[in-house]
Amino acid sequence: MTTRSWAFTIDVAQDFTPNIDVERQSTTTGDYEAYSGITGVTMHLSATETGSAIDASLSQSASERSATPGRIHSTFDVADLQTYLTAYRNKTVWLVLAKTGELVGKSLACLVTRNG
Amino acid sequence: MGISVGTPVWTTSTADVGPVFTQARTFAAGDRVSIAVGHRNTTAVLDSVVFDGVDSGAHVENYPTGTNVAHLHVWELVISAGGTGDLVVTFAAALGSANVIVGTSVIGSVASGSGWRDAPVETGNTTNESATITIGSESGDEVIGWAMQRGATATMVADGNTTEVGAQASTAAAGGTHVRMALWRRNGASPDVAIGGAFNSTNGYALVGHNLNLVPVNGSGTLPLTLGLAGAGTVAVQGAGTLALTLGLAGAGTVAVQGAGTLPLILGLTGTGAVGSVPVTGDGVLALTLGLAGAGTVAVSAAGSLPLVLGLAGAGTVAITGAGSLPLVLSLAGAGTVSTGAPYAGQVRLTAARGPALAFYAGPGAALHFLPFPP
Repeated sequence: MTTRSWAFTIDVAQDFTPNIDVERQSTTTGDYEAYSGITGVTMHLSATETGSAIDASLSQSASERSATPGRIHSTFDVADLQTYLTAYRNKTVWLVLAKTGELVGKSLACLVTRNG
Repeated sequence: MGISVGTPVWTTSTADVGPVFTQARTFAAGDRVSIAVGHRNTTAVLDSVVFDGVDSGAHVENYPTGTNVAHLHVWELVISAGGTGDLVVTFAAALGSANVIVGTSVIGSVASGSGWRDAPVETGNTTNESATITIGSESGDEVIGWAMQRGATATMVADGNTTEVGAQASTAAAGGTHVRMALWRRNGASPDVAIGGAFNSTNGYALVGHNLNLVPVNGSGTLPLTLGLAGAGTVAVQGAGTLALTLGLAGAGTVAVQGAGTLPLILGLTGTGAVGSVPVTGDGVLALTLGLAGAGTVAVSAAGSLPLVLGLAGAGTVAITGAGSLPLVLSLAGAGTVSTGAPYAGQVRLTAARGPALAFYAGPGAALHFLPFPP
């Protein structure tokens, strides 16, 4: 069986603002808990699962939502998406997250579309 | 490092009959000193050996050959504080004969306490002949023998298996009343080795020796295990990595392994909580514990190796025909490293805040076909 799922769709005609919940595992309970207060995370869009950014403009610093601990977000500008992701329409690109010493090469699949 | 046998320092006398003989010496704290005194009064009693008025020696063995011929005393001494002082050998009474030799040798890298040496073995005679003493030993140990004979200028030659550390005559003059002494050594081997040589004196010779025990490793040892990918922090492992696994006893020189050791190799996935139903989806942890198990007198004394044996266990009718292989694969699974601080450790999980955006599945039967998006 072949399966494919995407965490996000990226409409190259709009700004792209992914919201991602980051959880970490407690050694006390074994449960995953929201990574409250997370900082220092970067996001970039890559053609491969753990690759580098397609372009430097497709690399952003992420910040935590003040009302939702552990939820980080960043906005990719529509102009950059049109410039660099149009060639990836109907294809998968990867939203790669990085945080020094903790998050290396963690990524989420995204389907590039154009709805506008 | 192997056992060292220091070149002897000699004190000779052809005039003094004692009962006290003195040798100026400088020792370091912790030195173990082997002391030999040779003369031709076979009834003499050696009362004490004292260094610097502080450290008292202990009697190891004495060997009087016949009556009024060759007499060899062997003592041992452990230096406490060290320094320069007099090593004083005191007999119960004057010897009545003037030819005396005192030899001292510092022994290094031996076991501590009373286990630094084994029981002495001796021999002697009053004829020209070759003689050996057989001493129980182990690989890495060292065997020493103090040899003496009457006849200062006559030859006294170590045999081909024996090395002379040093030799001294009480005088350069010929004559059977004089004394000649030597310190011999030989590398130890299991179960025993012979040490000796050719003596040339009808006035008597004596040979007293014993085994020196290598510093043992008791209890647990430590084996450094290096698994690289070196790095920390932001070093990412993406794709296949290689982990070189090197097992060995660190050391150099004459270090040998005596006795059987056991190295349990335990590899497993560690986990807490509801292990079993919890899937392992990221990095696992393989705890690798290497150590020398055991206690007592197991010693490490020459370059050793720890064979890592992987084999197909089987019994009964299970047959192995042809060449088989057991791949040993060590790798870091997945990508990413996580260290989120206590009480958090392990995986960081990411999910899109609003859940999956799209998911398509193609099961058995009809395939799914996607057409290009309209422009």
